[in-house]
Amino acid sequence: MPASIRRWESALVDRVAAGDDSALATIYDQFGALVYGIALRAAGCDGAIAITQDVFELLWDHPEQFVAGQGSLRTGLATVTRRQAREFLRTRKGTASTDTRHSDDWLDAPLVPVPDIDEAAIALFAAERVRGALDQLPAHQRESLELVHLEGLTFRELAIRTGTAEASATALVRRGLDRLARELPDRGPVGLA
Amino acid sequence: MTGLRDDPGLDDVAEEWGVESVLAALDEQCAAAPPRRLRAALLERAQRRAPGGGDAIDAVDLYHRRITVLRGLLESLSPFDWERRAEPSDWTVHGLVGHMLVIERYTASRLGLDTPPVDGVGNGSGAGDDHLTLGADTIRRELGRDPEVTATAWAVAARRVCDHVRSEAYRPGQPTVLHGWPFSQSSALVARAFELWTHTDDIRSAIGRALQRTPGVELRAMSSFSVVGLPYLVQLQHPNAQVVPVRIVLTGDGGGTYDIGGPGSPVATAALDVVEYCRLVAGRIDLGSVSVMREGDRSVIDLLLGARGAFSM
Repeated sequence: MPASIRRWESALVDRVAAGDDSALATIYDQFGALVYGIALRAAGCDGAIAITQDVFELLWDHPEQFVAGQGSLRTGLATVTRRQAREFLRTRKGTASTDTRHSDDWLDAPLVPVPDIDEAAIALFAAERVRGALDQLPAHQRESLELVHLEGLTFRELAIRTGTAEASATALVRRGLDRLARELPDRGPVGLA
Repeated sequence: MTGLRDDPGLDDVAEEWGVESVLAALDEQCAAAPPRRLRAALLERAQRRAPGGGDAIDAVDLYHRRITVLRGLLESLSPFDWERRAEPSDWTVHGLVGHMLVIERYTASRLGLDTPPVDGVGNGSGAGDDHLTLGADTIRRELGRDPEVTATAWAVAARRVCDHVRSEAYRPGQPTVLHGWPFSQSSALVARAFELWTHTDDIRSAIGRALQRTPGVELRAMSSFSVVGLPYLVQLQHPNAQVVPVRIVLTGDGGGTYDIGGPGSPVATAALDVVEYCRLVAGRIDLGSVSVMREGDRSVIDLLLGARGAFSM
């Protein structure tokens, strides 16, 4: 991630920590579609609204949790959103609505320009490369990865679904991720033994 | 690792495998426009839960309050008061209000409003617009008019900004540039409020009135905005300086504790009164005259508290 974007993110997080709600608004404008989209995929319309609110409240209360280590704010938000979505489904016992239509007073907002075009462009470029690499994976590996990532299967569930040993299923997914990681700018392999 | 350890999923191992950024890249395909009301709803919830507790006001309210206070002060001035020199500037009080008229129009233009042209503006990007030399012709012209006419013109310009930031057209998170410094529109308003607060004190000092107590919520809004910007200013002013974690404790009503300069344990702690801090970063008092309790690396503290370019107006 370019230093200028890292500084931009760091300054925003510092401002959130200081209670500047305009910084929270900026982060929402930049990353709200990502957070909401992940939540929508996992939990349907109603769940997505609740999860998105939870994620941004968590950011407001504990911004330091979103920029731990060298990761970007985008990665931090995506990671936390997936965790929150899983927790939401767990507490609702997986009964979240899959309805993606909003009631009239919750109509989808029109797309608006993000505050930092460079950050968004780099993220989209990285995503494009990773998706291209995903298409190059052997079909069974790509499907396994999608089952654990998009459908949220555990490795044990994946093993049952694909009729393989859990260790084999886990290793297959990890090798796939290792190949995808090579496509990320500033990233090397994930260190698969 | 979090979650069900006896039956882990991808999120449980993502950190250990170092693939969180890969998953985030894959998640990009899920991005979807959120519902229209969601943004306002979550910001409203956030505002009710100010970090660190205590009351909070937003940038719009802060700006409006400072406009109101200054307007009241200007309405109380005598003809003699207008001719007093408003230190530390070279202007009289009349000239200083002319300067504020220019800056209010300039700010309005940076927020996207149509305004009378401000002389001295650079290429329109906000970069290179020197704060003190901006609008020199306008100020000269205002000095040839009745001071109350200048005050009215300033009040009209400020009211336009107030109306705008209370309208649907206002985009608090949208970036802008003032005098070469990057701001969000919201933080630009806080910076303006900070300058109005500073000049209100300048005028009171010029006409021999005691300085007024500033409400804690306003001090908190102004100081929290400025304190987190200090490491950024240090980097701009001293590119070779290493920015390290520092704790700034601002005491008194409106104070707070701020860990700035990045993650990790603070290498130094500075404690000072929140009002003195605001005057210090506004360039109205020197660091040597401020009572600062220091722990740890004193040079780091002095470097931070000496970095005040964007707030010294």
